[in-house]
Amino acid sequence: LKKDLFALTDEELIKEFQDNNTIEAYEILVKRFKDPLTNFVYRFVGNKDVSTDIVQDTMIKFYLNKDSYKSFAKFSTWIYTIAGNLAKNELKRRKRRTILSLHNDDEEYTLQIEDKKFFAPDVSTDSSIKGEIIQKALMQVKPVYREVVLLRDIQGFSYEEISEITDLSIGTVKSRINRGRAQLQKLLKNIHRE
Amino acid sequence: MNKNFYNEEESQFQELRAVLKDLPKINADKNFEYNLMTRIHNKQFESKSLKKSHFTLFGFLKPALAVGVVAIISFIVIQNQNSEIENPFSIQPEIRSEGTAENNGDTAPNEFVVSEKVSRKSNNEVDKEVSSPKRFIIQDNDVIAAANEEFPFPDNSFDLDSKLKSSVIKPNFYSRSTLAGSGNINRNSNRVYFEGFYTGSNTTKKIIDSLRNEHFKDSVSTSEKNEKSKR
Repeated sequence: LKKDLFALTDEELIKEFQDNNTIEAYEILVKRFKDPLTNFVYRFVGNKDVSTDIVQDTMIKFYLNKDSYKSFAKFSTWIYTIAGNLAKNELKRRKRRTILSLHNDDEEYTLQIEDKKFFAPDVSTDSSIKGEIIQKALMQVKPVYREVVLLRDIQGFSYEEISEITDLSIGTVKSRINRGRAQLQKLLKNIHRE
Repeated sequence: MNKNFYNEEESQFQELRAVLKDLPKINADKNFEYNLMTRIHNKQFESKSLKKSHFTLFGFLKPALAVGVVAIISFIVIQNQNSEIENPFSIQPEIRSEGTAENNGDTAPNEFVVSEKVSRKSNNEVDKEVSSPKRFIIQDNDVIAAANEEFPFPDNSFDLDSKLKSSVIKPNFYSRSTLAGSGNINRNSNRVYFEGFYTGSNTTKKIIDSLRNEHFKDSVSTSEKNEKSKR
């Protein structure tokens, strides 16, 4: 039976889980989506532990609210919607905390990215450091733009799928992606040159 | 049409897209599934992320509240201590009305009299030492002003009997017999004393004439006496 379940699509698996409460179907879906969701949430919130917790919460929500999924939608868009909303809530909470706290972590990112002399040229070519710089640059982009850029350029969703996940019109998605990319490109100017 | 439109948009950021695609993939922890299934089996459905970063205004203000409470308690304690034991360095010395030098009579007198001995030559060419007392007054601004002390008696000789007699005869100034508006109540001033009302009686010309004659006789006799005495 389990072998057969692996061959099923996401939508078929959730149907199985909804109808027969098959925990194996649920486990297969978790296995399929845990890594892409963790990657997406990490790029969105910028913290590994927080992203792990958010993905765990996403899976719990999926387990508890399996019946709220409607078969006409893609499962991936549905699960990304849950994860995206939880990640946005976390960012809002963090923003409130930053306003009330004396120390602002975002200031550090700005300094590190814009100072060209911060990294030596040979060091900046290193992929891990580059990845870190890009992540910090991503955190500088407004969350509304960041979300759609991540969904499009890292997770590889289509405009229609992003429109479904974010509950926005395609035009809005398109303009937000463009603005987000422009912001990011501005921040990463020195890396592009190298 | 749409696809071409998207392609145009995306060709603008080709380099950026390539950079983002090359980013290393972040995977979930190895024990992610185990932890998740444990939570489900144990029915621990409360949000981990919410629990971890649960932020409330009360939680944020907890330290401030603690500091405030400590400040209030310490203020109350210090206030009570102050009411029991007074710090001698913080007390303003009170102005004491009793026992001052002024009240004890230790201060220098404002007035003092100095008697100077002055030698005067009299008609008999004999030196006589006459003591003339001088009164000195210390004013408020510590200036000493000298004033001659007046001798209480106008002359060197003094009739003690008449003085005593006058003091005996002296009427009570505050009695009802003192005329109102007759001047200051000064013992040395000439006063007019009210001596009572006289009852009116019918007089005749004879009585008046007889009185005049008596008065005239008296005045003549006294003038004659005076002339004789002069002679």
